[in-house]
Amino acid sequence: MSTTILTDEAAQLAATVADVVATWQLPAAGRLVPDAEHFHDQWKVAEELGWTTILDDVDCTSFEGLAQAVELITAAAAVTRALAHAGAALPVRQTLVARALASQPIATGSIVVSAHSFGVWDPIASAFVGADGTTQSRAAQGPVDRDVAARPVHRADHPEDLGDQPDGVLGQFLLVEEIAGAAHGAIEQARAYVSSRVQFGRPLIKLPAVAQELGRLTIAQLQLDEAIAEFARRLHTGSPDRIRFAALAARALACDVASDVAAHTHQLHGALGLTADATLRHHTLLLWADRDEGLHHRSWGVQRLPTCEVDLWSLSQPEPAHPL
Amino acid sequence: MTTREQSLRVAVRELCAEWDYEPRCDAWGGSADPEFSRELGRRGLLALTWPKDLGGAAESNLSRLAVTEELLRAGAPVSYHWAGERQIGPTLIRHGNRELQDEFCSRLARAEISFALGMSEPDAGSDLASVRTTATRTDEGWVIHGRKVWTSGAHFADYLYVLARTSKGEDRHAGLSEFVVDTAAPGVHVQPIIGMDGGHHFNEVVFDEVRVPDRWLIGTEGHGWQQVISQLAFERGGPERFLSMYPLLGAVLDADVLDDTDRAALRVLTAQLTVLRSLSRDIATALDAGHSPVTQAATSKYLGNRLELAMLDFVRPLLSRCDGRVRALFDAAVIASPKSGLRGGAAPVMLSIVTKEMQ
Repeated sequence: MSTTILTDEAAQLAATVADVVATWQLPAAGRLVPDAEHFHDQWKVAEELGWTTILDDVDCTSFEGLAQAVELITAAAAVTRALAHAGAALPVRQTLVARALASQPIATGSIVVSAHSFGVWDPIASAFVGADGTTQSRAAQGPVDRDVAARPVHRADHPEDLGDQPDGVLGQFLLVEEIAGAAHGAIEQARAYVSSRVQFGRPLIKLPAVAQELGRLTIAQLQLDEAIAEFARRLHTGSPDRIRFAALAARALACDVASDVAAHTHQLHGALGLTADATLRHHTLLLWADRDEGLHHRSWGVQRLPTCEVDLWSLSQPEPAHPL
Repeated sequence: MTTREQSLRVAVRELCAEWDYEPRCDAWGGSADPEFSRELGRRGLLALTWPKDLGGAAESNLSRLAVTEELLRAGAPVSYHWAGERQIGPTLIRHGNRELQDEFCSRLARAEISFALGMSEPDAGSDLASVRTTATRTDEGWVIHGRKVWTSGAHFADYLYVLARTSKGEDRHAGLSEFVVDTAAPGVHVQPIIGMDGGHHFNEVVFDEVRVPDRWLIGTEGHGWQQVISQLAFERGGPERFLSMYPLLGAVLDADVLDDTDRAALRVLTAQLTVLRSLSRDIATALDAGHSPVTQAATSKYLGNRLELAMLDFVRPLLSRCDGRVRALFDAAVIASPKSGLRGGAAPVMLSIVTKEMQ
């Protein structure tokens, strides 16, 4: 089954991220993520290993530019997914997009955001990149709001069509990769838990209802991975309408899967999953936060939907696999 | 999409535009139109993946997918050739001997004959390992005795594919064999099972000491279980698992009755459709590579049925704004929906296949 298209290099990068993050201490429950003891050290590691600058030379102002940079975008996606898979909430995704959008070089080490961050990490970012590529330095702000994943956020109403531009599409691509990574991590944790937890005299996974629920979640994950793979294939084409539709499809499923996986992996964990000690929360809180990021209108994305059968058939036609 | 796939899609659209028929949901489980199937054969649109010397075109499963998708999209009358072209031909090509292939494949490729599938039994349901129909070897061949149910199209089929027990042992999966049976043979009794719409699609088929020549044993005696499992990717992984209700969705979109709230509900539906078409392409690619993507096919079947049910939920509140043609498609789709979920294996069976992979 097709999953996200990964080159050997991207797969290797993902493995490296997984190895590095496996040793990290993740934030304590209830604490703002950047206030955690190891946040700045971890951010420094991400910067030193080049995770935040992968897209620096990518032209994200045109779909042709994205098509020419698919390998780099794939690498950025691999990092984003691997971080989320490990439950690490760092501003890597947001910084990658903002740096790609910037028309002038930005010093490494900075947390940089753009409108595609939808306000997340905005309060502690040291620079903001505007739609025209200009970079504004920022002073640290005072008390900050937080989202459900305890990431700092500046809440604002964003234009509904933000995701239609090439840079917005890039932002959406990394966002759905992050959701897929977090979902995969949550399902793996649930599987490990029900395989080891003995109740009624045997591991929980031996109960048909538990096994089937895990199977259902696995299928949901596969469905999202397939949507992202199709999104990735279309990035090669430079065909705006088909790319925008694939972005919408992947986002719509990511929303569904995020809610589904978060809710039901907690069900499978039972009350133990609700404690501060349970690591499941690193995934589920990220899923809930990402699920709603930038979606402030019920009608989001409807302008990208087909209006007649011929368009539906054409837009849902899959792209042949592209040899990277 | 390759140029060849595109040209095949155009060829199907041209034929459907020329043909006088009413587009319908669940077209592959509905009424047969042998002439339509034969015209498909004449235009080289059947048996695309089969070897040329067996009446095929030696093309890829991707080519076949292009044709199948367009036929289902158009709600075309395809049931006459469906089981033979999708399942029986590939089974004979994979497991049958040359004599059996020569006897049936070219005629199937031209839709001169039709097959029905005799797998399920009265007390076995989807549990094929519980098959009790027996085939006993004689000097002249085999004698089949037993009953099959839910045999779609047996009332117009010329031949039946039959899974029967040829030996008994402790292993329920062992001792099963596959056969071709002539529906006109003495001892074959086809009795209608009238559906809840009053229509005649299913049948019960009774085999009362039916004689079958030895050459009509498919593959190896006692290997029926392994052979039938390898067919499941053909049976479950095709686009018919999610496009059976598509004519309804297409008709509603073209009716131009959606407001903004309705269109928002279309987001996930169109996303699911896109994923399933992509998954179907992956499965066809895997088949072309010689794999038997059983788990992927089960995933497609499971998600496909969910999409079909979601389509009904999407259309239901729009019906008062639609014309009689859409309402008729909806009614037919509602009635077909339970059947759509069951054939090829119910959702819990699909989940158990995926779950087994995880453990």
